[in-house]
Amino acid sequence: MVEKTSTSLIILILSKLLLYFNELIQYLKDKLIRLNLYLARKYGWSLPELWRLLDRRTLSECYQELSVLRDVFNSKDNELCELAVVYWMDLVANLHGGSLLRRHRLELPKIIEMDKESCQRKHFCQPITCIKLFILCRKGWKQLKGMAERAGDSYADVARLLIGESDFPKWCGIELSPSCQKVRATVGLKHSDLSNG
Amino acid sequence: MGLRDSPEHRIYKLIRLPGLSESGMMGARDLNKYEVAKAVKRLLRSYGVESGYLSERPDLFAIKGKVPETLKDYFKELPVKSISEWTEFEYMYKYNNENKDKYGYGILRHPPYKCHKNNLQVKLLYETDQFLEKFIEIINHVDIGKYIEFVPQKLSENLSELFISRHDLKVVLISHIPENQRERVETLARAKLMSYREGVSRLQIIDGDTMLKINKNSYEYYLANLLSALYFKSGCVPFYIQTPEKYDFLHNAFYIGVALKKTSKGYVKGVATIMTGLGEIIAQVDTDQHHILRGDAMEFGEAEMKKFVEIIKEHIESYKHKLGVKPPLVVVIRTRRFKDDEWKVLKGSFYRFWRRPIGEDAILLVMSLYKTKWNIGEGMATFDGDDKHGVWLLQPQKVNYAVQLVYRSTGYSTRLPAAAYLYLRALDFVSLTHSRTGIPPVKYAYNYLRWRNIAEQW
Repeated sequence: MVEKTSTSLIILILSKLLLYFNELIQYLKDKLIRLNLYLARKYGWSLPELWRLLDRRTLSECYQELSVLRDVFNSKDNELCELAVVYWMDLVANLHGGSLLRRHRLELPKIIEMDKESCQRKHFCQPITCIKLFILCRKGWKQLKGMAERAGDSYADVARLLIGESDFPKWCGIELSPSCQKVRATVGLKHSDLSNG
Repeated sequence: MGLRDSPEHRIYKLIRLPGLSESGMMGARDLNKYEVAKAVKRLLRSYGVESGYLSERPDLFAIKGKVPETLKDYFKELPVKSISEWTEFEYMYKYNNENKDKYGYGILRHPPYKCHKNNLQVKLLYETDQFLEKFIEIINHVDIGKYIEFVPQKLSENLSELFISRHDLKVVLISHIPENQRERVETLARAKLMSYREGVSRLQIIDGDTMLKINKNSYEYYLANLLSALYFKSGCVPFYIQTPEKYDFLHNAFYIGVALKKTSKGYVKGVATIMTGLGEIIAQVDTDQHHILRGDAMEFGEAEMKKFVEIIKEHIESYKHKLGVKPPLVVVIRTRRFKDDEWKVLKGSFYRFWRRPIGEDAILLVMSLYKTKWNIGEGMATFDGDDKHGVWLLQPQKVNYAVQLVYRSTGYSTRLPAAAYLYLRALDFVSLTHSRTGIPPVKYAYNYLRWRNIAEQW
């Protein structure tokens, strides 16, 4: 009887331990994903392991929809909102990887009217250049942090989006499509969380 | 054809010395450069040609019409091209929420670029009910309720209300004060001086008589200027100037303007600054009494220069404190020339101190700004010099005469001085008038000295 009780106790403890272990693994996985995303935002790393969490079709659809949205802002000559969308296109392309990412990287300099050589130059940038440089080269995190605190609302809002401290500026009036919302929900692009790594 | 349509002056550089016997002077080589310039001017007049020479560069002549055929070999005409062709400097006024406009008058339609808080409390002091009614009529053309809340109060005879309450800003609607009412003007000047907080005057004085003349056709210009000044004096930044990427330096710079005022005790020099970086613009007048420089001459004396260097150093530290870095570009502007020894002191003491943490990219630029009476054409410019020193003549659109910009620099680009002038001119928060030629921070420093002179607080 005692033996039976102690065995079931051991099983209970083991199962509890297993549960905790599982939670720990989940927690670490979650943190790892967030850390990866944080690094991807900050340094433009591609995220091959993350795309498995999303199906590529969703990512591809989202990218196309963002591309249309970008054209709308471009036609309205709304440069900052356009850049905010381009930044998201960049994130989605990185999540997707493969041919989409290659095509995106090829087009990016043309889209933001800045060549890759700009990344090599030492920059004391004005806000719009800082934003472009960050999207193109993942350069100037510190400047963006400073802009988020000191610049006027429009620049500061976009700077906050880029460093992961907030969502799209409200004044852009962006409504994400279902596929993009799915991307955001799946990869946990809760910007305030991301900024904590 | 009106003055604005037709350029009247061509700019020539004297490249060889003519025989000056016709002007009554022989042996031009024995004369100093100013005497030569005067003699050449007389010579040209003897041919019936009106001319003037640049005080800082007496080898450059502005000539009405053309150089006579017989004197052609002694002169070289400087090319006059459009400002944008010379500099490729184009700019856009940016307001809040990505609103933009070609002009500062966009402030009528768009919210200010940056405000530290909404609902600014503005005390509206009015002398007569008529002034108040007119003010409300004008201001009601725009919806500024989100940013500014006016609290009206009648102004007493002794103007005591100017000295009490600590609103974000006080606006005074007052009738024009004749010069013989010295006491009243002095009271106003004392109130103005007292109103300076964080380097910005928090008192806007409006001439009620002028305001009453504003009609339906002219209110837009008046109101835009008023709005921009109100926002600025309440602590907001009315607009940001976006420029081509090649001028990014201008947005990470420390601009120091020196103004000059002749007083009963000699010349006083005051300082105002503009700090830009990370999308921030901070414009301030240095109201520290110990930073008012005094001397017998318009230029800095030795002791003044030493003090001026220390003032710049203090402000650079303040820039670092506010923006976290030291600026890669420092621009010193005044309306007097920089003598050789002044430039040497600035470069030798200040530049070395500040350049160390910045490195190779650090640029020091000093500029002297003068008005001229020469019309080279609207939107046109000409230039003579290199990246270290030279002179620009610039005549922006809707300006009647060119301004002369003499500069010295540690070297970057010949275009930088012209671009810096145009940038600062665009960044003037207290005047949006197209024909303006003065620039902040010199203008801000001068206004402060002017009030201080009226109040005789030296």
